[in-house]
Amino acid sequence: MFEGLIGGFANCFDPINFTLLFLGTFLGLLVGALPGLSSPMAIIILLPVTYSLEALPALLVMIGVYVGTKLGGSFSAILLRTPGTPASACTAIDGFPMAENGQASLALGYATYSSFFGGLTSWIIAVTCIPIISAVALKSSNADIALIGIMGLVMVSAFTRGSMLKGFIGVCIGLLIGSMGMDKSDAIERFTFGSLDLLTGVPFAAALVGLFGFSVVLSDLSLMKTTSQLITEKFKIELPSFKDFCKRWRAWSIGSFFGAVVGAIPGVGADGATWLAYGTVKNNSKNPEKFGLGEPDGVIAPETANNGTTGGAMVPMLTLGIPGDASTAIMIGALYLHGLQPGVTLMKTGAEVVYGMLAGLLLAGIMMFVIAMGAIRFFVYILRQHRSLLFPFVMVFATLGAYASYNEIFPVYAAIFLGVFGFLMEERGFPVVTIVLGVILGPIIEYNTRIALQVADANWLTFMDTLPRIIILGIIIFLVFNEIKQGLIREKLSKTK
Amino acid sequence: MRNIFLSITFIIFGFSQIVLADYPDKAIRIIVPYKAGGGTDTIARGFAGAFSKAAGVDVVITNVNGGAGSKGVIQVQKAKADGYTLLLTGSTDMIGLSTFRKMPFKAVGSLDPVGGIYTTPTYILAHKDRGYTSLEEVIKKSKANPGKLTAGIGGKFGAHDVLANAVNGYKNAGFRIIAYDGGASLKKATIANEIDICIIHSPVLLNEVKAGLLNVIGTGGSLAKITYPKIQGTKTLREMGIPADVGVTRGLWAPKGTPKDVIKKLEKFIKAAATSEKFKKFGNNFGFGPKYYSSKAFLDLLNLEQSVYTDIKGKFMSK
Repeated sequence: MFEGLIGGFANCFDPINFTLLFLGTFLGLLVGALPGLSSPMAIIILLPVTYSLEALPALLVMIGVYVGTKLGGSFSAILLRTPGTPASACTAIDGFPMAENGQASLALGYATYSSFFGGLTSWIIAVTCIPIISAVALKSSNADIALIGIMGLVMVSAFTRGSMLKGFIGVCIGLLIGSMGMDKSDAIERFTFGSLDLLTGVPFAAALVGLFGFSVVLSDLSLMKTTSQLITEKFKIELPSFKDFCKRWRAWSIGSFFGAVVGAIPGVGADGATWLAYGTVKNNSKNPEKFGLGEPDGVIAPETANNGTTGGAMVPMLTLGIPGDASTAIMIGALYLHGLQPGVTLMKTGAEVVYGMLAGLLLAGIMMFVIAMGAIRFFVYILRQHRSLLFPFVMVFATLGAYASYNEIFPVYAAIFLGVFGFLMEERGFPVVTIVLGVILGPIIEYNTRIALQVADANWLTFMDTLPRIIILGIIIFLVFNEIKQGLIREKLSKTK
Repeated sequence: MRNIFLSITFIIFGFSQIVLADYPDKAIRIIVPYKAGGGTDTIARGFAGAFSKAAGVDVVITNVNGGAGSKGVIQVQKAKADGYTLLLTGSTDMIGLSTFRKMPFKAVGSLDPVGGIYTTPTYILAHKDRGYTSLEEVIKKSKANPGKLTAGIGGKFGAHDVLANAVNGYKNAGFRIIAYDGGASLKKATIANEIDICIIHSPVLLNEVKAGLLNVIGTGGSLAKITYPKIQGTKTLREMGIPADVGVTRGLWAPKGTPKDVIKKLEKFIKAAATSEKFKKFGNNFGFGPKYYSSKAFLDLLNLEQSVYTDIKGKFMSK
């Protein structure tokens, strides 16, 4: 195993391979930082270019892009509140307020440290515990995934403290939007209004760039004549030190854990891990009220989890041929195109490529760190530009991102509609993040609950069948009661005042 | 006047001949109506290289995955009929959509088929720990416990669903059919031994079969071309007394009204690409040797599959 890894590193240090990995990472950071553009899009565009390469260099480019976009997506989430992926949407919750408070560079610095650290720890966990991570991926059945999804939803309901009802309504709207289209199990059409476009539901990309990007542009239109409020006089380039980062060990260790373990579970992976990490860190914080207003821990937790999923998603892809997310699904296709056979036998038949990819994953993380730390000034410089220059670019890239998700105009219309809708909701005090959460987790929870019940012949006790399920269920019940208790205490306090 | 008319006709005709003579002189776009990374997409990308070489121009794959696979078909329907926009999808995917849903197109007749490139039957697998070695054996067990044994499929109203319903219908098997949201989820459920049988397009999970983790217990068509001799003789549904052939043939379609000369050229390119060593190599690595169908043969196949679908839908699936 370790001999194989050493060989993998040796292959990665081949000048051509090393350069390709570096270029991939650089490109990934750049693409990810463009609002609305994501890793699968970049990988699929690069795929034909890699045909002429050998298998390992081709896959190293993709791994570079995969790792780079994870952090790049958070850059656009922090600076412009326009995440490119559902996973980086969570980073916007505290990252964007930090930028608004004049701490854009600090937020980007924390995000870079976290991504690097998350990637590193999850790599170590993934590589040293390949059998365990594979077992987690394989043994987590639909019932487990449904429960994890519900746990995420309940945990993040803490976002809504202060306006519980509005938050609850936001989640419900998100769940309703998420339920549109043909249901995945029975193929029944729901809320499609006879439209073919809506058969596959509201595209994720449209929901993200619409609810976040377009609605931000709309709400900031009043500032068009000023330069970005994010910088104003308060602006200064300030990077966190390693010591600062280490002090926040609780946030990054929780993030890394969720990244590596939940990231390995197909179907919930990266999208679920960030929210779970955020919710856990917030619930365990001494100052939960600071979250959502620009708390660094609120950037660190989802960011470590986000890059932490790379190791978690890569291992089941390599050992079982099961993709953890959209990017690894494309990489499986790429393995076939390069003459390899992904599946349980890949570790034997394509060991050299497998170990090369694992080594590349770690190296890409290091490259990402080096490039991103150097590029923060550049990104903040862009942010300092006049809004009348900045916003058209945001709109163009967000539109491009929505279009490219289906190669169709429909997601663009959907994004514009949701942008206006999100703007109106925010204006009335409904946090759009709760809507996005419902859109992301709703379909995961519904589909997995239904499949779990079908497999168990409609026996609801299946959700208490195993020890992990009982534990997750226990946490959910505890969280719900805790929320009710907290609500009652707050009510009592407000009455006594 | 007559002379002017003749001149214009000559110019137009001559011009169009020049255009056709030059075809193709720019990149050809192949629309795959599914997202990147799936089986059809991978086959399309495997084919694109060989096709590009045969046609002498670049070939670009575009994934148009909205509307449950219908939007890509509609885009090709609406595209200019000049041979530069083609559709690549599975025969039974098109048939499934238009048979079970209200679509603004029909699988047969709304586009011009220009050739089939890759045929794979749908086969039936079971985890080795279940101990099943033949479909008959599982059917027998399921009949004794109706509604207890599970059959996983990769989606509602596709080839997998038709096969599952054919087995249930013709043999009164009583499997509980569980529709997963695609091949990846079904693969995972099968390897994790969560379901009794898995109905999926061959050669998906072939490596797991080779590794001894899964058994092939039946097939919707001949497995003679699969790259694992041990299972090439697996009993087909017909051999078990179920009158249905179920599988998928990935092929290409051009918009209606594409000039005959262009179609002829496309047929030539597709034949050259589908029978090329490069594509054969890809197919063998993917797990199944490719098989070429001329446009006529592909159309006949589509008609045959359509009749099987209509038959099974009418008998067992229209509640």
